[in-house]
Amino acid sequence: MKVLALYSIKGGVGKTAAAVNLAHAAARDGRRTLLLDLDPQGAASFYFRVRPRKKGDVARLLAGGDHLQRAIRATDYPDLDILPAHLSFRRLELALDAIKKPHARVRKLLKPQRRDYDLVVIDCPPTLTLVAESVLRAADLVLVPVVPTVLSQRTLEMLEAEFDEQKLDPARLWAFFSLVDRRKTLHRDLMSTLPQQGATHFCRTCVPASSDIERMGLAREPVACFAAESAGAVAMQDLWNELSTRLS
Amino acid sequence: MTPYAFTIPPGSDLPALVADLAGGLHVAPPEARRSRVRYFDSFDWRLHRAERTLRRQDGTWDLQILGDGQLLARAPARPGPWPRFAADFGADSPLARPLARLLGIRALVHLVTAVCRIESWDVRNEDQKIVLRVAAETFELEKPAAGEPLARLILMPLRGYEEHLQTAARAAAARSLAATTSPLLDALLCHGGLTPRSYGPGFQADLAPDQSALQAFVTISRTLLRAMRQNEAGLRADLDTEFLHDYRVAVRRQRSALGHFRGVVQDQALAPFAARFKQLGRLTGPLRDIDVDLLERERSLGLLPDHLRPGLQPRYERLLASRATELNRLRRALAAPDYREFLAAWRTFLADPPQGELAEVPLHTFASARLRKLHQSVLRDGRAITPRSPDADLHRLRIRCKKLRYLIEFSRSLFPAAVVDELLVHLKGLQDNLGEFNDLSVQQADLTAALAAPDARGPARLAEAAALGGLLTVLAGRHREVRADFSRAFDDFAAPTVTRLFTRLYDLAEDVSA
Repeated sequence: MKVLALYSIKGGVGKTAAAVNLAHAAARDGRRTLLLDLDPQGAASFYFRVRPRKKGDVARLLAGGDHLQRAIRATDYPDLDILPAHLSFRRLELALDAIKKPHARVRKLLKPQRRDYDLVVIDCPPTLTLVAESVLRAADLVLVPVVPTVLSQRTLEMLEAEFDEQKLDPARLWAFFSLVDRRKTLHRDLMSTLPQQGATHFCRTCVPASSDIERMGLAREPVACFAAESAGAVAMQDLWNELSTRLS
Repeated sequence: MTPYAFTIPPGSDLPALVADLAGGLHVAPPEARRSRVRYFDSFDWRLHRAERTLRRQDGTWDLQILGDGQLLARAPARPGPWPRFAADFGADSPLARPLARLLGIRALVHLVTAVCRIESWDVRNEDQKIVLRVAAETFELEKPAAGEPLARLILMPLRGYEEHLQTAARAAAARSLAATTSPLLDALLCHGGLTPRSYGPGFQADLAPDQSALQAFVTISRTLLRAMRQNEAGLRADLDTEFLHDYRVAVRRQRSALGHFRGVVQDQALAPFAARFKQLGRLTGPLRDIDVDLLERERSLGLLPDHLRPGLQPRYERLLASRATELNRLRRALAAPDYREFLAAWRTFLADPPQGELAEVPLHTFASARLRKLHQSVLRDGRAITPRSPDADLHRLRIRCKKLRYLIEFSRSLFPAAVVDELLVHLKGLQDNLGEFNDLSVQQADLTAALAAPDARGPARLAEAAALGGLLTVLAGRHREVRADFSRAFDDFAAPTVTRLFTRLYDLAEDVSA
C-alpha cells in the first residue's frame, strides 16, 4: 500500500480538487483507494456527497482500530472509499499533541489498511504543524500544488526546509503547477525557472485554471465524471499517469 | 462486502419490489444489460473444490472466488475454440498460471450456459449519494436446459451505509422473499439439475460397520461401476488423459475388491466377471503407458544434454501415432455390444448376487481380519527383501501394498479419519518408492526395446540411438538410487508407531464387533 499526501501551506491552490480527482483516477486504474479527508472544511467529502460524520471525535479516531474502520464510507465509484471529514478535525493538532509519538501516529493508523487498500490519498489541512509532520512522515510521496506566483515559490522553499529539518527524503517531495493560466507572462516565466531552483521534482503535467474543475462543487463529482474531455479532466488523468509508477 | 441474495418468485413486479426495498429513498430508473454467461471446470471439479470459478462472459474470461464472485484474474477471450488446458490461454495470459496451478493436467469442461439479464438500480439519499445498489438477475439456462428461469435479487451493500441494507433486507423478509446464500454457480447448477463436486478423486462410499460383507461388496462395486461409467464419455472424446487413468483405477479397485471379498459372493459366479475386469485392465494398459510416456516428455528431455534431445523426436512421433491407434481400438471396444452387455450383466448380478459362505459376516469383522492379514503379509514380504533380492520380489510387494491401500480406502468410513489419513501417508511413502522403481523398470524395458527395433536406419536412427542410450544411462542410475532407498521407505512404514496405528484399526474393528 502506498500513501500519497496532497499538501500545501497555502489554501486555495487546487489541493482538494487534485486529491479527489487523483483518487478517482487511481480507483479507475484498478487501485483499491482510500481518500482521507483530514481538512476540517470537508471539501473532499462534499465532492463525494458524503456528509461529515456526527458521531465520534478525533481523539477516538487517533486511537485507531474499530473507530477508524467504522468511519470509512464507500463513494459512488468502485474501489474508492473515503474517510469523511469531521468537525473535530479542527482539534486534530491538540489530540495529536496529547498522545505518545505523535509524529508516527498517521503511519501507525494506516498500517492496518494495507489489507483493504492499495493506495491512500490524504487531503491534508493547510498548516505546517504536528498534523502535517505526522502526514509527511507517513507519505511515500508528498505532492504539492504550486500556483506559479512568487509567494508560492516561498512556501515551497519553506516546505523544502521542513523536509530538511525533519530529515525526510527530499526525493519524496514532488510538485505540480496548478491553476495555470498560460496567458499570463508571470505564470510562463515562473514555470520555466521554478523547477530549476529547488530540490523538488516538478511533474510535467500542469493543471490549468479550469472552469470544469470549479464546477465540481456544483456537480459534486470528480471532473472526469461530468466533463471527461475537458482540459481539467485530461490534466488530472495525465498527472495520475505520471504518479502511478512512482506509487506502485 | 458480501451481497445479500434472495430468490425472486416468477412474475414479480420488480420496480415495485425495488421501490419497497428502498424504504422511500430515491430510486433511479434501472440500467439493464444482457449477456451470455458460461461456466467451466475440470471434470473432477478442481476449481470448485478450490472455491474458484471460471466464467466466460462479455468477451472475457474471469477467474473468481466461488463465494462472493471476487475477481482474481481476467483475460480477453480470443476467437476460435475455447481453451481446453490452462496452457491454451497463452503463456502471457494472467489466467495461465493460476489455472495451471489449479487444473494441473486436467482439461476444462463446459458446465453451464445461461442467458443472463441484469437490471440494476441505484438507491440514493437526499444528497443524491448512492447508499445501496440493487440488482435483479434473471438466468435462462441453455445448457443444461431448464424450464423456468432462475431469478435472484441481489442487495449490494456500500461500506458505511449498512443501515440501508438492513432496511432493504427487512423489507425483503416482510415480502417473504427467500434468502439464498448459495453462490451463483451453485444456484445455476442446482437449477439445471447438476450437483457440484459430484465426481472426485479417491474412493468415497459410506459403509456402516454392522452391515454385512455382502452389502458392502455390492455398495463398493456399484460405486466403482458408476466411476467407470462417469469416465467413459471423456475417455472416448479424449478430453484429457485422466479420464482413462480414473477409469483404470476404478477397474483396478474393482479387481482388488473381487479379491478382498473372496468367499462373500459365490466364487464360481464371480469368475467370468473377474476375467472380464482383468481383460479391461489389459485393454486399457497400452494407451495409459503411452500417455505416461508423453506426460513425462519434458522431464525426459530435461535429463538429456541439449544436443541429444532432438534424437528423441522420432520416438515421440511414433508414440503419438500409436496413441491414435490405441485410442481408436479402445473407443471401438467401449462402443461394442459385448462391453455394454457385460456392464448390464454386472449390474444385474449386483442386484442379487449369489451368496458365499462369508456373505453375512459383519463388515467390521471381515475388514479387520482382512486388514490384519494383508498388513502382516506386507511386513513379512518387505522384511524378506535384501539388497540382493530380485526385482520380481519388489514388484510383488508393490501389488500387495496397492491391495492394502484399496482395502483401507474401501473401509475408511469405519475408522477415525485422522488415523486412516496418517496411515495412508506412511503407506504412500512406501508405495512411491516401489512405484517409481517399477516405472523405471518399465521405462528401461521400453527404451531397450526401441533401441532394438529394426525399422529405421541412417543418421536419424543414430541420433535416436544416442538419445535413447543417454536416457537409459540416466534411468539406470536413478533405478539404483531408488532401489537403495527401498530399505529407508520400508523401515518408515514398518516403524513401531505406524504398526501401532494399524493395530488400533484392527482393535477398533474388534471393539465394535465385541
